[in-house]
Order: sequence, then structure tokens, then C-alpha cells
Amino acid sequence: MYAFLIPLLKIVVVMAGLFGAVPVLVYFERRIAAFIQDRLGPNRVGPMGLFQPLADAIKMIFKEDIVPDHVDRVLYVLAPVLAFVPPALAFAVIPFGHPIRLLGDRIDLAIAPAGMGVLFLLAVGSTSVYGIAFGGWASNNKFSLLGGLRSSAQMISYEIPLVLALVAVLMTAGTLDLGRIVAQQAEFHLGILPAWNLFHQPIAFLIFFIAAFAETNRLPFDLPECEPELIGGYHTEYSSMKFAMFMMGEYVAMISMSALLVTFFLGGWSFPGIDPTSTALLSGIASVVAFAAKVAAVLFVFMWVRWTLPRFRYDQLMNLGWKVLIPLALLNIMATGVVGVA
Amino acid sequence: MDDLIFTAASIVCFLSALAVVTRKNPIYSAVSLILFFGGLAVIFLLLRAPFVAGMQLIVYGGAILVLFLFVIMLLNLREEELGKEKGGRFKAFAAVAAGALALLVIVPVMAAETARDGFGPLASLPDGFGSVDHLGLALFTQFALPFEVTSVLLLAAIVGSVMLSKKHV
Amino acid sequence: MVPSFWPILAYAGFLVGLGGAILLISHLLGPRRHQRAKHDTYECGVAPVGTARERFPVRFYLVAILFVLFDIETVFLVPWAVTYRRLGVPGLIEMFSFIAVLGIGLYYVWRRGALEWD
Repeated sequence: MYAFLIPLLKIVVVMAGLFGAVPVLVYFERRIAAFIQDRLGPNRVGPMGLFQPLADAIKMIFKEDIVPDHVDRVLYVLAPVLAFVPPALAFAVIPFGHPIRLLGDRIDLAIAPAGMGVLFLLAVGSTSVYGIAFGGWASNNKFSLLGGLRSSAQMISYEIPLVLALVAVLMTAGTLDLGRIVAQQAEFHLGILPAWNLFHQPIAFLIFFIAAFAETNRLPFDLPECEPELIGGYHTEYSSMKFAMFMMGEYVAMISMSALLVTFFLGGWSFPGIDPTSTALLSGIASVVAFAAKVAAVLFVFMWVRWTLPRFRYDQLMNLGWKVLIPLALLNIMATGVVGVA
Repeated sequence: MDDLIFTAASIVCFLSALAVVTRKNPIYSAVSLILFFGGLAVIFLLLRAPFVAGMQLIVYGGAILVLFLFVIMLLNLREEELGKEKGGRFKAFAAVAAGALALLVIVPVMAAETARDGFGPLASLPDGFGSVDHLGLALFTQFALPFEVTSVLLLAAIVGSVMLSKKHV
Repeated sequence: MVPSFWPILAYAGFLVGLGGAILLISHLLGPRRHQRAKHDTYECGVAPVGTARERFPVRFYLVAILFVLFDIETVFLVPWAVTYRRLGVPGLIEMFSFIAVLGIGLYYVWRRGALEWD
């Protein structure tokens, strides 16, 4: 009974953290946008506009749930669910803190600490294109279909450099276990420099970082939505909570990508001062806070970039992916191989 | 518990495979195929072959199915272009062919199983069975040649796909 | 014996359940008034022109097939990445020639102009 309780508890905690973070992110995104563009942003609902996301959610729920007459009903309803399940599923294997000992039992702070965690991530990541592809197709609207098609082509194009960058990290780590990849990064070089993969694999980090923007359809790679050309892209025909679920999927994908970036390159839950071998509850909480803080910092960069850079043209996007990032990632792997074997 | 998950996954596989061939709209066939690959991946997991399960989802569920979807969406056949249902004789022939294929799989499996005194799981698996380490070491030493030949095959596929599509670009 | 991956299945179940619950709630709480204009294809307020079931450029198809091929390459790289130190120089040569052959493929696609989007 007890053995069942702990994983269920972890699932509840992760889901609460993940879906609780989405409205907070929406709020901060709008405030940061306003700050960067020198305007006020939401500041009417509650103190400093803090209740704005709540008001938005309530409004969304009570909006009419329009299913246009000409859509393919089954896929039209399925697509929003498919848009947020795969990115959220990635959190099943991400360690969000170091193992703790509670009532004599060792508890890993990840829903399923799998030895093949990276493989699971790749599998989940490769299915994340379906929500958008189905959404675009089922809407039976030219703009939706174009948006969905563009977006799918973009996501699969950038999945390759993303995975190739990951392969370079795996070469450094020598394991597919995310817990061990993080534990390795908790050590120090020369006593001060953290052994983060960012320092071992700076090129892979850069490739992963760029590809992460493209995978989450964020500016400067938000062509699938591209308001001036495509209205809303794949979610043009969606309204009410179905539209909100696509938005939720985008934000959850952003959180997952940031968490992966932190896990693979920025030392995960490790932080100077936190003993990685400790199993004390307090130290465990500190490591969770360190992980959350790092993810929040990466998320801030995501938003900062969004309101700073203009949008790419589609040919530029494809050129960058196929002609720059993939060859660069392959060269990086070969260089890592030579250095590693020599 | 393993049996329960196996049964559930098998039922999912069977029903979705049936749906792949019976749906008239090719998009639904593709959706059923995704479901089928998911069930198959679970079965591979139960067989202690996590790498194969991952492959199943990454290559088939992710890449090849996206290709199928693109082709379906690109062609965008309208209802009237889908053509009439094939006649009874065609269906009978297809059933016989599928049955023969199934026999080709079932007979050797049965033969191998009875040769190894009865059904059931292997008594013990070698240490590290199915792990990526094992697989990597075997693939790049024992099976180095097939691996290299694969690259040539992939190259041929790249050239072929460009040739096919460049005709009209 | 419960397989060790059951929490993943449970988590996936919870996520799908959450999605279903959200759909159900908005279906129950929202108003529903059918109007022909509202339920028509949205094209910025004007009457829709033609249909969305048109054919699309073959380039998207080409990107998808290239993705399949390079995805298979990355799949081979994963087991190599975790064992390459033990495989040593022979493993390095094997993988380099593998990457080189596919690199030739990428170069060919590039030179044939299949990666050009105008």
C-alpha cells in the first residue's frame, strides 16, 4: 500500500506544480512584455494585477465551446489534449531534487527514476507534433492547415539538432539515467567551477537552446501562429477551454524544455552548498528550490527573447535548422568522440 | 500484473490494428496506427527490451507516422476521390494473404517454443539484458558490418526521395 | 509483480483524465447558441473561399522523409554515445564513416536545392 502511495503523491505534486505554474507564467509573461515595451500590463484585477490569470481562466471556462460545423469532430476534440499531454509527460523522468530519506525509505524525487530516462524523453518528444498537426487538419480551415503543416515541419526539423545536441551530452555522461546525469554535474572542477555540462558541451548547449525555442514554437520561431499571415495558425478555429488547452500546452512545453535544459546542462537540482550525497529532508527541499529557481531563470530568458527578437522568415528558419545546426551538431559529436577516445 | 498489462496491451494492439484496415478515412487509419505502436511499445517493455520499445515510439510512432500523416494531408483526398469499396473477391484474397503471412510467423515461433520445452518466460535473463550498454557493445563489434551497410541504405533512401520529389519542384 | 514503469502509465492516465475533465467542464458550463455564421469557417469575417482540402507543396513531404532518415541516424547514435569510450578507436571509425555517409546525403540534398524554401 505504502509503495503505491509515494509515486501517487509524487504525481500529484508534479501535476500541481506544473499546472499551477502555467497561470503564474502567463501573468509574468504579460508583465515582462509590458516592462520591456514600456507600458503597464495587467494591473487592475487584484493587487498588481495578480488575479488576472484567475479572471482569464474563469472567463475561458464560461465561454461558448464552439465546434464549427465543418470540422472533423473526433480529431478536433482530441487535438487540444494531445497538445499538452506529451510535454507534461516529460516530467515523469526529470529529477526535481536529490533523493531523500523519509521514514527510513529512500525516495527519488522523480515520478519514475528510469535507467533509460533519456530514451523515454525522446519517445515522448517525438509524439508532441501530433496535437498541432491534428488540430490544424481537423479544423478544416486553410489557415489552420497551413499553420499546422508549417509547425509540424518546423518541429521535426529542429528535433534532429535537439537530439544530436543531447547525444553529445550523453557522450560526456555515459549514461541514459537522468538522476546520474545530474549527480555527475553536482561535482566541482578545481573546487569552484561546477561540473555542469554547459562547460563540457558549450556548442551542444547553444544548439539545444536554439532548438528548444523552435520546438516550443516560441518567438523568434513562432511561425505556426504568425498572426499577420495565418490568423491564429492551427488554433484559429478553437475557442473556450480548447483554445486554453493549446495555450496551456505551449506553456507546459516551455516549462518542460526549460527543465530539460537545466537537467542536461545547468546541473539540475545541484547548487553550491547543497550536499548531493545528503538524504536529509531539508537538503532535499533546498535542492527542489534550486531546481525551480534555475527553471524560472531559463523561463525568464525565454520571455526576454520573445519580446526582443523579431520573427524569422520560414526559409531562414529551415536554413538555420538543416544547414547550420545539424552539421554543427554532427561536427560537435565527432569532436567530442575524438577528445573522449584520445 | 505483467499478464494483465500484456493482455490489455494486446487487446489495444489487436483492436487498433483492426481499425487501421477498416477505417475509410486514411487519417483515422493513421491515428489507429499510433495507438498500435503505443501498445506494441508496452509489450516490448514487458519483454525487458526498453531500447526496442523506445525505438518503436521514436522511429515508427514519431518519424514514420508523421511522414504518413504528411502524405495523407498533402494528398487531401476528398470523399469522392477515395474510390469505391473493393469487391468481395478482393477482400477474400486479402484475407487469404494475411492468413498466410500470419502462419509464416506463427509456425516458426511455435516450433522454437516447443523445442525449448514448452512455453513461458526464460528461466533467467543474462545480466544487463536489453540495456543500452549491451546493445551498443554488440551493435558496434559483432554487427558492425550490417550497421555500416545501413548507412548506405539510408543514403540511397535520401537520394531516392529527392529524385522523386524534385520532378515537380 | 508490478512492473517498475507503472507510475509513468499512472501519470499518463492522470494527464489524459485532466484533459477530459477540462473538456467536459467547459462543455457543461459554456452557453450554446448555434448560428450559421458563427459555426462557419473563419476567414477574417468574409465568406470562406474554396476549401481547406487542397494539395500542398511537396517540400513538406521531403522534410518529413529527411526527418525519418536522420531520426534513424540519431537512434543509432544513442547506444554509441554511452559506450564509445569502451569501443575505442574502432568504434570511432565505425561511427565516423556512418556519419560521413549520411553527411554525403545531406550535402547531396543541399546541392540539389531540396532545402531551399523560396
